[in-house]
Amino acid sequence: MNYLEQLLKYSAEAPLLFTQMRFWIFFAVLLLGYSVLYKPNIWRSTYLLVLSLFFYYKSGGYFFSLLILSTVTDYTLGNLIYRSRSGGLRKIYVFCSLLVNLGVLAYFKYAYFFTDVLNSIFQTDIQVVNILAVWTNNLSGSHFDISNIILPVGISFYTFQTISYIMDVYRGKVKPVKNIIDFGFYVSFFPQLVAGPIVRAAEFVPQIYRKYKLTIQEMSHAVFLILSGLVKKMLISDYISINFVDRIFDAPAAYSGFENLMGIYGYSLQIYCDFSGYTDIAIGVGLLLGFRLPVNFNSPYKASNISGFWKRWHISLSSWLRDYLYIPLGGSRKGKTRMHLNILVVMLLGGLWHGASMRFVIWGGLHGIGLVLHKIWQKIIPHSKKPSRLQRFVSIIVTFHFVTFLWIFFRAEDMFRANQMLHQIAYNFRLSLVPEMLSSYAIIFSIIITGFILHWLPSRVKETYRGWFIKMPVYLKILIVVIIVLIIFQAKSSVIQPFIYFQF
Amino acid sequence: MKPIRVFLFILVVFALLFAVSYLYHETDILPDNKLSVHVPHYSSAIPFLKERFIHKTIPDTIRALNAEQFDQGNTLITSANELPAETEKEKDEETLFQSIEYPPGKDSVLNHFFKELIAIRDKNGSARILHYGDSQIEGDRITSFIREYLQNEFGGKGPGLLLPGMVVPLTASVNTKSSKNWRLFTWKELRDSVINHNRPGVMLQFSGYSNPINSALQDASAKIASFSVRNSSICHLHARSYDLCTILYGNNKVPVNFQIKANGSLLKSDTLKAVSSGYISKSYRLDSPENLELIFGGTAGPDLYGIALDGSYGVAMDNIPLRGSAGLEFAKTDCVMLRDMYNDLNVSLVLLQFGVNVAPNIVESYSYYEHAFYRQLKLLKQIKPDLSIIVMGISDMARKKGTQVVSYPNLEKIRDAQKSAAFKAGCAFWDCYEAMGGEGAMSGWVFSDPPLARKDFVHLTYTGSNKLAEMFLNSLMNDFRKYEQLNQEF
Repeated sequence: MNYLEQLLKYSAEAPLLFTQMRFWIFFAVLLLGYSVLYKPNIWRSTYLLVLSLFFYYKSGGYFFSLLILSTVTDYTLGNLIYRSRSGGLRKIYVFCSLLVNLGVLAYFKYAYFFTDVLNSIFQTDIQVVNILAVWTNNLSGSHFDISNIILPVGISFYTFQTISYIMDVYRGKVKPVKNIIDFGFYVSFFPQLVAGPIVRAAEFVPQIYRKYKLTIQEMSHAVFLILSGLVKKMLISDYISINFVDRIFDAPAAYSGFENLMGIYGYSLQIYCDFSGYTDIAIGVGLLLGFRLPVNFNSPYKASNISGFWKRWHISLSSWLRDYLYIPLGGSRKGKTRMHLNILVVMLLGGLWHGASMRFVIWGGLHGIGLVLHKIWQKIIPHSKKPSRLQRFVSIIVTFHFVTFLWIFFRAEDMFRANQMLHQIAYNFRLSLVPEMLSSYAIIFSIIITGFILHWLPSRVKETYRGWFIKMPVYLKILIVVIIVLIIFQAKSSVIQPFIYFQF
Repeated sequence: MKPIRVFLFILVVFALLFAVSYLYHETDILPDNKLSVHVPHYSSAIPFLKERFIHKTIPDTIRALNAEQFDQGNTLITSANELPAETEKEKDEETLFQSIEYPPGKDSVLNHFFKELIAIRDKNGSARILHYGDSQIEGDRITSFIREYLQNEFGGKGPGLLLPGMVVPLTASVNTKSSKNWRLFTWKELRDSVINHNRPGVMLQFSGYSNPINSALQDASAKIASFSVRNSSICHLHARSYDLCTILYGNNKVPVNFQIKANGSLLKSDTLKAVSSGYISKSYRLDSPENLELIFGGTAGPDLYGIALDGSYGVAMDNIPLRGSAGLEFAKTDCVMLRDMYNDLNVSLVLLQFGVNVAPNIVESYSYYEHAFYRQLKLLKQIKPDLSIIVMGISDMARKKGTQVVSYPNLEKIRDAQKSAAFKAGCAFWDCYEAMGGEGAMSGWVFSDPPLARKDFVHLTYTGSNKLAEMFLNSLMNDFRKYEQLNQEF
């Protein structure tokens, strides 16, 4: 009984991450029930909703109440907006939805940030209190820490998802969902709940009512996506972060300029593999259940300019910002100056979305400046003909380095350490030690180089080996899955790279 | 395709993984020892069936502190000054206080240092503390917190001894920039006989840029060598300013032109005399410049044993990290020079914090280390008999065993060897390993919020170093106050 209790209860140290075996056991059990309940009806939606909420509860504890709050509020408001004939009243309903969603997001994600800013401007000493914990403690006699606000899992994703639903209903782009179970399922569908992609109602809701369809090719594609996601996340991202990148960013002054530079390149690869790997798995898992989630990354470091980068990186977020922030602010329809200002505002807020810290705002702002400069550049130097291969190559390298440079501000713990990194690169590069460092960090650098090579391979090459996998007989596919899992296990259980002393 | 077929696909994969795990777990698939292959144990897939790693809770004295106090330079000062006045000496379950341990029957081994502290406070005296360690203290970690507290409490200022070309040029206290022609000679060069003498000086390392006497520094193309210092943005209050800049140098056959610039303006032009034996210590008065630059001229420079930035009285404390060292280099150096420097600098306390480089070499017995370490302590006591020494034992360190993170198995043996050597030589001992929480503590330190240790599971972060320093100060000040009380009664 104790074991079952442990299995079902929330535990912060054991969330259901795609990179843990316990998630795949959960998924297998889910599939067993799904084999009976896969026909599109209220039972399927209920089954997936309940299991999604359980998934969320395992990872996020009592915060699933916020998920339910968001669901109930927006379902109700969606219907009210649709049924109301008064323009004024519809606007009020939209406002209420934004208030609840952004209010909850602002409180749980940004309370410390906003109070720090207020305290530093007004020299006050406002303290934050976790009101949800206070209420829960009073209601159920629990003992949650009321002075500590914990960020609820996935809140940045599902609040944006429900806001997009309300806006699309308001704009008449989509009809409200038929019943609250179906709506709840759309909001809480577990593959995309924790780390996206942000799914629009217009794309997803019709799928709830469609027959379950999964061809053998699609299933193979899903397995391929899941495998490549696991390799990216665990073999590349986790390995290089634990054994190299994290240490450089923790203490840049203890490492040479060369190591700092490699750390920055490594982080560029790490964040891409981490994020895109996770969403690849989400898309693959969704597909195995018969649901098509949108692509979220499209080889972003192949972009030849910064605008192109944002069409390839975290596509569901950048398109959300475009449709629900940039365009309502006026987009490019109100003159050049206003357009540039809109871009800056959107990128500053987009930066803030990533985390409650000034460094994310700075990072977003710098990207905004890059985008504005690119727009100005395009006006000055019009592209009348297709760029040559060399021009394109140079553009890709320049864009990649611009983006990588800005990752320093995204990842460094504070400006003190960001400055230390740049200082070490400029003044303590230690070129003479490079051969020794290359050999000591051979595995890590090989993984980084391999990762970048695979990223920059032409799409047709990637399509070719994806095609090979899809055409393989099923027993071969199973064998490949087992081998890759064992290889990933090697990375996970490998010895921690020891701290290396280089003779200075 | 129906979902049941997807389920069956996954089931077959699980079955194969289980089979591999059952058949090959704990055996080497490739038994030639060139490549080790890890095979998962099926129980690790089942949640909660197996303990992931020993996850110790961090001692309460740490949790009682507000972690945010240690984030920025300014607030660090506040917390360093607010140590509790009265603390219990005995290790108590509730307060989890880590006391300094003394050799049996010799509680007075720190009395000389305590006496010096009183003299500093009451009569504007001065005393120096040398904090030697391995990479665990690099970047002025641990030292900076102790220094700030003692300088605030008793008097004193300045970040202490620095060297051009130092391994970590950016520390908690200073940002240094050295021209490219400086070369640092450490205990490794001493060991490998790269240099033709054994006089590295008080820091057990020295810097040079061009010296005909030194075969490793024969390039005479450089005309000048410069070294500049400014405060780091997280520097503690007292380390930000200094009244004196003292150059310790030697081993130069010809005089060396020397300039000292404060905030870009030339303060003094001087000539550093030739030194055929021993060393010279030359001091310059300063008024806490924001940017200090030292320029050494000529094609034949000296061995630079240290540049000390101190107050004209009070406590001076030096952070002397020796990357890769096990703390066994003192006996290999010229003890006459060491003795002279210790006396000139008025060193009254030495802290020795080593062990991190001993742990990866896992052996049955550490008596070899105990004997070697004892020799170092004995030597230090011989060169300055009234010297107080505290050995700060090895900290907890962890490594991966499969997917788990566990402490190195030999830490307690190394700690015991260090403690025995300390007691035998009449030195005090402070147990870092127990202070952190003992076996398995490191993962708690790494994964706490904010992190108290880095993900190499060996080195502490600045925040973690401050916490360890605070625990050490708690016990040091506790013993100091007891000494003070006892002596007041007389």
